[in-house]
Amino acid sequence: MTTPDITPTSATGPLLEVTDLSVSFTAHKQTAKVVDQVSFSVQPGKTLGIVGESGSGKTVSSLALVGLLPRTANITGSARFAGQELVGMTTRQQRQIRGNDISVIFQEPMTSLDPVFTVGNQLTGAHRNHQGGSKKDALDRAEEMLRLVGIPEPRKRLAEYPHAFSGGMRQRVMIALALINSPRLLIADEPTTALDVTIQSQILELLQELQQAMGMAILFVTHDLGVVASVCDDVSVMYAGQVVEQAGIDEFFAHPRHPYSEGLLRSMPHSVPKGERLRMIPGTVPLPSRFPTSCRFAGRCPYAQEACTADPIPLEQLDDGRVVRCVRHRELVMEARS
Amino acid sequence: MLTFILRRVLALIPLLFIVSVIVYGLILIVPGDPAITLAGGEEATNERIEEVQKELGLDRPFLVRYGEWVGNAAQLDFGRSLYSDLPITEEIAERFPKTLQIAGGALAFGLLVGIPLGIISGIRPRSVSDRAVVFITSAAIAIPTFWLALILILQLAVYRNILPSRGFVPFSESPAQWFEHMILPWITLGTLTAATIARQLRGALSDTMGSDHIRTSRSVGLPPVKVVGKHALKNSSAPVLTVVGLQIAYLLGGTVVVEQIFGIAGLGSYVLTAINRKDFPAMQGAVMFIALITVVVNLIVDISYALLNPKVRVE
Repeated sequence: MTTPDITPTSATGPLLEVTDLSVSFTAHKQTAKVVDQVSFSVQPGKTLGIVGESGSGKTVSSLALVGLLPRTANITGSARFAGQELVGMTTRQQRQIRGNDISVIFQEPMTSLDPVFTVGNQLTGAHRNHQGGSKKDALDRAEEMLRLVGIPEPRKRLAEYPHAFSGGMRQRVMIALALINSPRLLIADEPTTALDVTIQSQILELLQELQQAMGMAILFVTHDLGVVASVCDDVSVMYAGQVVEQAGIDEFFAHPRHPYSEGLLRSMPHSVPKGERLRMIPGTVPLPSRFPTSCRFAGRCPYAQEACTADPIPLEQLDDGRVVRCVRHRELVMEARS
Repeated sequence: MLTFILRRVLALIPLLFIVSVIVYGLILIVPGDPAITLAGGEEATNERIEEVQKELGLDRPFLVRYGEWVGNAAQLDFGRSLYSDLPITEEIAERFPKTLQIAGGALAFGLLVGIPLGIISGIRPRSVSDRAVVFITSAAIAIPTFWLALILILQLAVYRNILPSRGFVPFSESPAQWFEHMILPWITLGTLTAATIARQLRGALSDTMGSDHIRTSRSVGLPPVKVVGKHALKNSSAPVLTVVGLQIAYLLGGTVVVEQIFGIAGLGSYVLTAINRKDFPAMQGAVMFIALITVVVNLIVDISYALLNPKVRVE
C-alpha cells in the first residue's frame, strides 16, 4: 500500500470502509473461505444492516473487524476505520480499539455476562481498562450507563450479579457495557434474536435512542428483515460468504434487485395475504467447502439459467448507487410482495 | 451466608455419626483379638485371655462399648492406648503436627505446580504446550507413590548427596534443616496432587475459554492477563476446588506410606503401628480424628464454593 491515503477524514467520509475482506479457516489441511471479498461501508452516525441466513458469513465478517475470531482465522483485504487499517493490526492495537472505539453486543444475553462478577465490577472494569481513573469515577460512570439503558435503581443494581437480571435486562446491561466508553461504532450481532418479541422492540428502540444521544454508527448483523426495516439506513445482503446486494433501505424494500433478496422479503410473514401459505426459499446455504465458483445462489434461485452456472458473477455497481451480484438483474423485475 | 454455613455444620453431625459406627465396628471384622495378643499370644491360657478381656471391657456387649466410646470421642477423648497406656488424644496431638506439615506442604506443592500447568494447557487446548502437560500429568498420575519416593531418594539422597533421605527436624530447631527434610516427602506426596489439579484446571479452563462471557471480556478490550487471570480462572475454580477437597483426604491418607518411607513419626505411622499391634483404641481414635479433619476440610471447601459462585449463596 504505497498510494497515499486521500480519503477525507471529514464528516462526509465513511467511518468504516471495508474493501475485499476475506476470511478463511484451515482445519485438517482443508481451507474454507467463509467470507469472500466482502465490501461495505458505514457512515458516521448511521446504521448499516448486514442480512443473511445462518452460514452466510455475516457474523464472521463483523467479528473479523475487531479480532474476535479464533486465531485459526486468516483475514485478508482492508477495513479502514477512521483512517486506521484494522486488518493486520497487532493484537495490542486491536485491544486498544475494542470496547473503546468499536464495541460489540452479542446474541446471547443470558450467557454473555460473567456470572461470577457483579454487573458493577464488569462495567467499571471495561471503563477503567480504557480510561483509567479512580474506582469511584468508574462507578459513577457505570451508574450513569445503567440509567441510560433504562435500568431502575442503577446504584443498587451495580452490586448485583447477572443472574439477578432477566434476559432483556441483561441485554441492557450488555449495551451499557458496550457503550460505556462512548464508541464511534457499535457492532450489534443479532442483539434481539434471543429475546421475546415485546422485549425485542424495546431493545431496538433503546439502541436508536442511544444512537441519537451518543452519535455512534451501528453495524447491525441480523437475519430479521423486520428489524432491518425499523432500524437501518442501508442494507447489505450476504449470501454464502459474498455480498449479493447493497441498497438504501427504502429502495431495497420497494424493489429488491437480487433474487435472494426477493426470496428473503417474500418469506416475511406479512408479505403474503392472510390465509395464504408463506413463501420460502427452497434448500439451505451450501457449506463453504461446496460453494460453487459461479453464482452461489443459482441452485436455489427460481430465475436461474445456464448463464448463472458458467462463470463467477461480478458485483455490479449500478447508476443509482446500488450494488447487485446477478447476471439477470436488468431483465428481472422483482417485488417484495407477491 | 451465615445460615448457609450453619446448615452445612449441622449436616456434619449425622455424617460423623455414620463414620463413628463404621470406625468402631471395624473391630468386629478385623481378625485377631487384642486380648489374645496381650495375654501372651499363642501360649496364652484361656483364663488369662478372659482376664484381659474383662480388663479391657471387651466382655461387655458391643453397643454398650460403642456408646461409651462415642460419648467420650465427642469430647475428643479416645481413651488410652493398649500398649503405651498413654491417652490417645495426647499421642495424636504430638504426632499430628508432623503429618499436617507433610500434607500441607504437599498440597502447597500441588497448587504451586498444578495451577500454572493447568493454565498453560487450558488456555490453548491441543497446542504443543498443552500436549506436553497432558503427557507429563498422565505419567505423574500413573507413577506409584512408593516407587517415586524410592527413585527420588536414590537420585537425590544416595547418588548425589543433595537432600537427606529420611528423618524429621522440627521447624523450631532449624528452619533450613526442617525444609531440607520435608522436600522429598512433599514432592513424593504432592506429585499426584499437582497432576490432578493441573488436569482438572485444564478441563475447566478450556471450557470457560470458549464461553460467551469470555468473548465479552475480550470484546471490551481487556488484556489476556485480565481475561484469563480474573474472569476465566474464577469461573474455572469450582471443579478445581472439588479436587482440592478430595486431594486433602488423599494427602492425609497418603502420609501413611510417606511417613513410613521417610521415617517420620507422624499420625500415619501411628495408625500403621496401631494396626500391627492390634491396638484398637489407638487405631479407632486416630482414624476418627483423620475423618474429622477430612470432614472439616470439606466443609471449608463447601463454604468456598459459595464465596466463588454467587448462585450457590442464593439457594
